[in-house]
Amino acid sequence: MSIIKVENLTKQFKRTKRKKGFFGAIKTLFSNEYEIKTAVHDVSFSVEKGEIVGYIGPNGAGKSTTIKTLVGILVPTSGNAEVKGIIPYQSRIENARNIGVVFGQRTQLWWDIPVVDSINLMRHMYKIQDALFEENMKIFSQVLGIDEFINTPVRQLSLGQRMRADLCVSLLHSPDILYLDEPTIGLDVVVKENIRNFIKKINKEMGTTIVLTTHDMDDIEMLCHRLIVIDKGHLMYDGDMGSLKAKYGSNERLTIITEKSDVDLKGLLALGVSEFKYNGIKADIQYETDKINAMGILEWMMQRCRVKDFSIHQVNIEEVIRKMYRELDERSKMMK
Amino acid sequence: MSNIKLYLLFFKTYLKVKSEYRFSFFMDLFSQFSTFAITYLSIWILFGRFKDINGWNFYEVVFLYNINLFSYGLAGLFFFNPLRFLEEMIHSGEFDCLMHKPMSVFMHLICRRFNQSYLGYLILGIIVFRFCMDKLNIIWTVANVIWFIIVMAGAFLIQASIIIISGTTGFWLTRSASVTETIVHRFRSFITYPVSIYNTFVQILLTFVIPYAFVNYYPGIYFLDREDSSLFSPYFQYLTPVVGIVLMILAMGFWRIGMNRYQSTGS
Ligand SMILES: Nc1ncnc2c1ncn2[C@@H]1O[C@H](COP(=O)(O)OP(=O)(O)OP(=O)(O)O)[C@@H](O)[C@H]1O
Ligand SMILES: [Mg+2]
Repeated sequence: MSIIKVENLTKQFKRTKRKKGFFGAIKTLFSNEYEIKTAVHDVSFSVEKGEIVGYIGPNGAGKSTTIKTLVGILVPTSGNAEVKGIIPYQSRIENARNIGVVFGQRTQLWWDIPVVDSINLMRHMYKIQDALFEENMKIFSQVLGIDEFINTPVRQLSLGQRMRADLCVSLLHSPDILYLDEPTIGLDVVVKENIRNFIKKINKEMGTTIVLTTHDMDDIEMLCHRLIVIDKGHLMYDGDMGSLKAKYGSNERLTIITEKSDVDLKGLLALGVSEFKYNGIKADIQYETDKINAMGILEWMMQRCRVKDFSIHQVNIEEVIRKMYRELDERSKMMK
Repeated sequence: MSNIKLYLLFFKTYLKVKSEYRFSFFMDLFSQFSTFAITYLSIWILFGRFKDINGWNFYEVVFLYNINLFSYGLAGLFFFNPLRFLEEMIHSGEFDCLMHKPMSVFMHLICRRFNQSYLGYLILGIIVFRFCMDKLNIIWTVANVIWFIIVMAGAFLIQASIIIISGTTGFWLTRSASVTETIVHRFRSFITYPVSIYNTFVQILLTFVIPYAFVNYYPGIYFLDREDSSLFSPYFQYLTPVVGIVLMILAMGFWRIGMNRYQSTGS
């Protein structure tokens, strides 16, 4: 039984066409000309209990729109979504009890009052049992370090502190599902690391199902077992990381340090090298592993100059995604 | 029920936090006091020049003003800040955070912001009311006291509904805060004086469009036992509670429409 089911989800936004200039503005006010923007187009996927799913895609892809539908904030134009057997936009409140939500750029905490009081209010809002509350607070204050700033009003918190407090509050009632929309945006490396560890821990120890959107490749690499990629509202990929790398990332990079020479590496292109840079000492060579391997290139080089050192870099997810986005972009340009 | 408990907890928490900055807390109250003291003063100055306005004497006008101030203070305490800032919350996305919690979005909104300075209105309203009570010819029979409480409840509902309706325009307008400010401050200032002094247009406006006249003028006719010099039916003096309930139903309906719009447009 999937915990989240999304079937043929489509969300369109109507926007009144704006016209330029003063009279244009007045016309806009009275016109009923609409521009339809399809934010999510016929997307289907399902998530199993206990998964961590990375929901990724370039800016404006429709990630937040999907999350908002799953949370019950938006009603889809067509298609449907079901979370733990509940249709979120029909039974918003019932659904809310099963989920925790963090939107990276805004807080659900009370702005003017100390964190501890916000936590207390949430505790009453969710009617959390004392035992559960204390147990959760013990874990959270330890892992997230909430105690440091628990008496500070939210508006005085740093972004990182606020994010930690938000995470804490969204998990107080031990929800089955946690939605994170860009949870690491704007945070420094240490806090990011801390938050990733926390997310992992929650997933492992409490079995929380997690759906997260992010533009941070390290988040994806370190957290997600599975990736769903959308672009311009269309689902482009759904599967594990390994197959994505295999599909888009048959690339490797080899760095070779040589004694000064003037070898022309153009000859490598015919052998399966896709890109190279060489300044007479340091060569950066990208190649596709199904055409040539590192040994082949090294042999070719050693026949022409003295190689002093070399290193092989596995492609990381960042390059895979970048390549994928680039291909998506080219494909859509070709369609036009 | 649990919503009310949550509100009380929120109220307590807020007061506790605000009163930690004791100086600014009292300064807030004081500055509200002085704003309204100035209104009282201007009424007083006016009566230094004229013996009465349209047949209403100083204490009667102060009585009307008190009903307005008290019901506004109570309504504003709960509703003004949340609805005044609705547009801003929608704009910043904070509104989305109200929607993923297991409680009514409206109740959550109300539990979100609060303005302690409205407490000042309430205190001031009670003090002044105490002073002018003896000068008025109202006989406080049990029936009158009960009716007065009902009228105050009606007046509260009217004030609250108008705040809610004007704030709810934030689902459509990007500058709804100024709509709210204009209606709640500018329009309401009309009822500082008995509405019978205004021309027909303003009276129609304050009776049927933005029915502030039912807050104090019409019930005032009853309590002060005045000749009704308004344009409309003498029964209007009894209608405050009805108008309050109807208006509140309309306000809640309008809120629902706004919410539906938000759920389909996300903005
Ligand atoms: N309320 C709205 N009204 C109109 N258009 C909207 C609305 N919300 C989103 N859109 C449009 O829908 C598309 C998808 O937006 P969405 O916020 O889901 O993207 P996203 O994948 O979250 O992007 P980002 O990575 O930048 O956060 C965008 O083109 C956006 O302009
Ligand atoms: Mg987004």
